[in-house]
Formats: sequence, C-alpha cells, structure tokens
Amino acid sequence: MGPLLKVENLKTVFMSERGKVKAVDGISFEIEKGQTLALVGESGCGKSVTCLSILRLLMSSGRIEKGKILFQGKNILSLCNRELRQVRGGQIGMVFQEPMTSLNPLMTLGQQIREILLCHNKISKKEADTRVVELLRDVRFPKPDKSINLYPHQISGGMRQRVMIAIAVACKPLLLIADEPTTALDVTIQAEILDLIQYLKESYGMAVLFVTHNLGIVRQTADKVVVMYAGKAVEEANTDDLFEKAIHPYTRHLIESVPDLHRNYGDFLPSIPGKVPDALHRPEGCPFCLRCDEEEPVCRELMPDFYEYKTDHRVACWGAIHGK
Amino acid sequence: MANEIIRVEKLVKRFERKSGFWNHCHNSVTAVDNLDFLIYEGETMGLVGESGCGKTTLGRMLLHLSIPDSGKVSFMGCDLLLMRSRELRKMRKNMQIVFQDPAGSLNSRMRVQEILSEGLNEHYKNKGKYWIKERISEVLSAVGLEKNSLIRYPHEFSGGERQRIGIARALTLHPGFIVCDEPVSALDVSIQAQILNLLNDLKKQYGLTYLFISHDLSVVKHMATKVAIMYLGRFMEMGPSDTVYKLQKHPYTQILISAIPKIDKKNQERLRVSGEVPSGDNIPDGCRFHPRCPYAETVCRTKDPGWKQVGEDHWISCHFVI
Ligand SMILES: Nc1ncnc2c1ncn2[C@@H]1O[C@H](COP(=O)(O)OP(=O)(O)OP(=O)(O)O)[C@@H](O)[C@H]1O
Ligand SMILES: Nc1ncnc2c1ncn2[C@@H]1O[C@H](COP(=O)(O)OP(=O)(O)OP(=O)(O)O)[C@@H](O)[C@H]1O
Ligand code: SF4
Ligand SMILES: [Mg+2]
Ligand SMILES: [Mg+2]
Repeated sequence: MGPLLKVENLKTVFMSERGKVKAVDGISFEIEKGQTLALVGESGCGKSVTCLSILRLLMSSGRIEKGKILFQGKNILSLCNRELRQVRGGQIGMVFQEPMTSLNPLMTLGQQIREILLCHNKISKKEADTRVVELLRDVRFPKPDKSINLYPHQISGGMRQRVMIAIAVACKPLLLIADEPTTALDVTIQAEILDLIQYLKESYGMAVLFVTHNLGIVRQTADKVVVMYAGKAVEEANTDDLFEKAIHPYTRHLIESVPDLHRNYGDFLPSIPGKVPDALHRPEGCPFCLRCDEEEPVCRELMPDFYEYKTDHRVACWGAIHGK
Repeated sequence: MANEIIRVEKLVKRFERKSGFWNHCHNSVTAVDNLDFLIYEGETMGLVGESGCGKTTLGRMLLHLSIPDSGKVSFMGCDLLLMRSRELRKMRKNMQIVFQDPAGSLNSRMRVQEILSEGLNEHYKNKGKYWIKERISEVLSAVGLEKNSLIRYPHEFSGGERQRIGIARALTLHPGFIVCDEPVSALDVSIQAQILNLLNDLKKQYGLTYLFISHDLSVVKHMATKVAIMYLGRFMEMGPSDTVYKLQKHPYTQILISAIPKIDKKNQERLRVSGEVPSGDNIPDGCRFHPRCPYAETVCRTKDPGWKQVGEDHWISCHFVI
C-alpha cells in the first residue's frame, strides 16, 4: 500500500489584478498512515494554500494549475462533488488558521458540531447530542453540557479553536489537516491539545498535516518536517535530523531565530534580514538567494534541484550540491 | 518617577450569558475581577494567562472599547468614564489596539489603502492628501509589506500578512499607548523577530507604552519590563519580568513556563495541570487556582490568599509564597 497522502508537484496560482500569483510552486511530499508531518516556513510562503488545495477549498480566484493529490491512492483533483463532500470533514478533518471566520456566527456550538456528525454518520439526533458533549469534553471545553448553546462570539479565541478541533475530529478522520491549530492558545491548553491530537493519532491511527510557526511544537510532535520558502519546498527531513543537522541556510536561520527563554537578547532578537520575495517578482534562481549569506553566482540564475542529500533528507541548495 | 499612563482601580467586567437546552439558565461570567494596577510611561506591561482568562476584555476596557461594570480606568490622569465623546475621540488618537483576530477586525470590503487611511482622514485631514499618503507608505514599509499591498483586499493576504496590516493600522496615528493583543502569534519566528524589533524601536524612538498580550512566554520575557500572570480574571503574580521569570514563585507561573515546547530536546517533561478547565461563571472559592494547583492544601480551598507584596514591585497571590 502506498502512502496515505501523496502530493505531487502541486502548483496553485491566484489570478489577481496585479497578475498571476504563484502561491504554491511545485511542492511534493508524502504522509504515511499515522504519521505527523509538519509544514513550516515564512509567513506567506504558501502553507495555507497547500492545505486548502488538498481539500479543493480555494476561493474562485485560485486555481490548481498542475500536480496530483493522491489520498489513499485516489486523486482528489478528479473526485466529483459528492465524493469530495464525503472526504472533507469525513476522512479528512481540518482546522483552519482563523477560527472566527470559519465558525458560523448564527449557529450555536452544539448545532455546528451536530451538523457535521449527522452529515457523515448514520446516527440519531440523540446519539449525536451525546457525542457532541463527549467531543467538547475531549477538547477540554469547560462545562461541555452547558456550553452547547453558546454562540461563537460569546467565547474567547482559544475556546473557538477548541470547538474547531472538536468539529475536525468529530468523524474520526484518517488525516487531520491542522493549520496553526494552537496559535490562539496558551501554553497549557496548547499542551493539552497536542496531547489530544497525539491521543487521537494513536487511538485510531490518524495522520496529521500540521502547519505551525512554533518550532518547539514541531520538535515535540512531528515525525518529519517540510520547510517551505516562497512556494517551494527547500528542505525535508525527519525531525531530529532537521533540528540537529539542518542544511539549507534558510532552515538554519529559522531555527536560530527562535527566542530562547533562557537567553538575554538585549534589544534585538536575531532575525533574517530582508523579506520573502513578492509572489509576483520571484528571482529566477533560488528564491532565498537575496537573503542568503552563502550565495554563489549560480544561485541567482538557476533553481537548485530538490535532491536526496542522504536517505530521507532532501534539500534544494547549491551549497549542498557543491558539497559545502 | 515616570508619568502614569494607565491607572486601573477595582476594575470589574461581567458578561451575561444564556445557557442550558432552552436558554432557561441565565448566568454571568466574570471576565475581569477586581483588578488594580498602574502602567507608567515607557513601560511594556506583558500580560499572560490561559485562554479565556480575560486578557482581551481587560485590554479593551483600557481603551474604553468595552465599558466596565464597575471600577475606574484613567488614561494620563483623565477618567475615561467621565469623558464626553468629543474628548474621547481626541484621546483615541493617542491609544490604539492591534486586534487579536486580524481577519475579523479588518473590513473585508475595504482595500488596505482605505483601511490604513481611515484614522488618518479622521484626525489629520488638514495635513493634506500627500502627507497622508507618505505616512501610509512609511508604516507599510515599517511592517515589511510591499507597496502594491495597498490595492489588495484583506482576503488576498496570508494570515501573517493580515496581522501586519493590523499592526500598520495601529501605527498610522502615532499613538502613545498601544494595546497589542497577540500581535505576532500568526507570524513565523523570523518575521516575528522583525516585528518585535520594530515595536521596540518605535518605543525607544517615540517613548511608547505598551500593554503586550501574548501566550508566548519567551516573547513576553523579551518584550516586557513588567509582567502580569492572569488566571480567571485576576492576577496571580505581577512584577519586573526578570524577577518573575527567574524566581518562578507562583505555582501557575511555574506550570506555564514548564509547558513551553522546547526545541532542543524531544519528549520533554513538563508539569501537568490536573482538574477541570475553569470557567468564569463559577469561580472556585479560596484561591481560584486551587483545583488545578499541584501544591494546594486545605487553606487554599477556603481562604482567598489576597495580594501580597513579596519584593520590590513584586506581588503574588498564593498562601505559600512569602
Ligand atoms: N486569494 C488570494 N489572492 C491573491 N493572493 C493570495 C490569495 N490567497 C493567498 N495569496 C497569496 O499567496 C501566498 C501564500 O499564502 P498562504 O496563505 O498560503 O501563506 P502561509 O504560508 O499560510 O502564510 P502564513 O504563515 O502567514 O499564514 C501569499 O503571498 C499570499 O499573499
Ligand atoms: N461578548 C461576550 N459575551 C459573553 N461572554 C464573553 C464575551 N466576550 C468575552 N466573554 C467571556 O469572557 C471571558 C474572557 O474572554 P477574553 O476574550 O477576554 O479572554 P482572553 O483571555 O482574551 O482569551 P484568549 O487568550 O483565548 O483570547 C471568556 O470566558 C469569554 O467567554
Ligand atoms: S494558594 Fe494554594 S492553590 Fe493557590 S496557588 Fe498557592 S498553593 Fe496553589
Ligand atoms: Mg497560513
Ligand atoms: Mg484574547
């Protein structure tokens, strides 16, 4: 059996007044059953668009230009609408970056969770209600039985995110796509949510595609990591290798920029100078070349291949190719 | 002594809520419960605490975006509750907020250009169009967005880019006091560092004062001169940030610090909290943290520990910390 999810050379673009925005520019990766893959990278590099593409949830100005998305061997891009609905929220659960905009403001929490349960399972309303309370308890929502009649605006940002997670795992999905699920949560709840995801992973073999900025979380939860930069994958490795033996200059800078509680930085935190190239005007060669301190002449002209540096460790950098 | 910017006295905020299957129960949630504190000019006060503990509500009350049920907020010596709306509008120019939820707080029908010029048009109309345009491009480049962002709509940006638009909007009016509600939570570490450096720069340049709300304790440690640890509407600890982090006196402070996911080691150990997640409609007796505190004893269940001074500017609410 092949991998649970296989993304092959995915290219997603947006048509905008400014021209064609190449949000995701040829990315490939695989997730095995039960595995956690973390997608990290600079803001705007295409992580959310990758997630949305997998579920074909792009808004009308977005288009998947190229590539394949194989889920359990079937190409999601060629499913009909009915099949697609079965996959979304059923076999693939999702949690989005901004919980307020993804919850319906006119429906209570209970109604929203019940809806998804009734849509994907053959159960009675009463069974659904029991399950709703159970799910709210699972995500450690205070007073689950009393909270089902609350509306989204009545709860704090972090609570909304917990509701989103409850909805996402309601149908025991095989794959959970979680786009920054814990950004709105404090550390203790974050730790609990991560434990919960871990528990769900173990108890029914759920795989997770995890987008996060928090490299601490990546270290603690992911099996492998894909680092993106300007729409492309620049490094892929298993978690320990990535943190201990990162090769791509961008990855190394990223890891160094994590603020450490035990260090005094004075006035300035280390950061990578410059910014991500605008999606409309990317350099010809390596997208990181304008900010790289190990740049060679060839870097500006040609995009390096994403090649297998060693087993299970791939990187796209001329420096690595030239054996530095 | 530096000037007082914010003075908060006995501040309380409750929300009424309906619940139960037929909305038959009315109960009230206490979001902010009797807080007193001061913020001085040039300070950055860090505010940390569990989701739902009342941080956003507190921040909004400081700017009079939410009206307290009782208590008093003074901004530079003026009681906000007694101010008339004209004075208040003038005052607003000087106090801004970066909202927690960038998507929800930006008008989706407005282009970035309009979003950023809204406040400027209200307060600086007399300076002329050219000046306003200059000011906008200044803040735009300060937060690291391209000029061509101006003609785009909020939904055309990534989450982190939207967060930067929110920061830019708060900066346009050159306020003296800014409530930053999770200003960098959606940003990757490198841009996060750039924005934090920018906020610190602006602070030095213009003598700004911040209330800095964040879940990220490492970020708060870097930014804040003093820090308050909040739990269910009350402060558990407040003090100079170096002291609070170094001594880790309050049990809740210890738990928060140990829960930070570390990047240097896999499978870290951490202190685990037990007990039901608290809610503001049923605040426990005694020390409100006792159901989840690993050190709780009988006295914690019955007696409120009060607010004790344990060092210079260092206050704590716990029976066992002296
Ligand atoms: N509807 C749209 N129209 C035009 N451009 C878009 C649209 N949605 C996203 N983009 C652009 O596509 C790029 C990738 O966006 P995406 O949301 O995937 O970033 P991201 O990696 O998730 O960033 P963040 O960490 O900030 O959430 C960005 O440059 C963004 O400006
Ligand atoms: N408009 C409202 N109606 C009813 N309850 C509310 C309202 N706004 C906030 N609350 C309640 O007040 C409490 C404090 O909410 P607040 O948004 O201040 O929390 P927070 O500390 O900012 O949390 P987070 O870190 O998740 O953003 C929560 O219990 C919330 O459910
Ligand atoms: S007073 Fe008791 S319950 Fe409260 S924090 Fe201190 S030890 Fe824990
Ligand atoms: Mg995103
Ligand atoms: Mg908040």
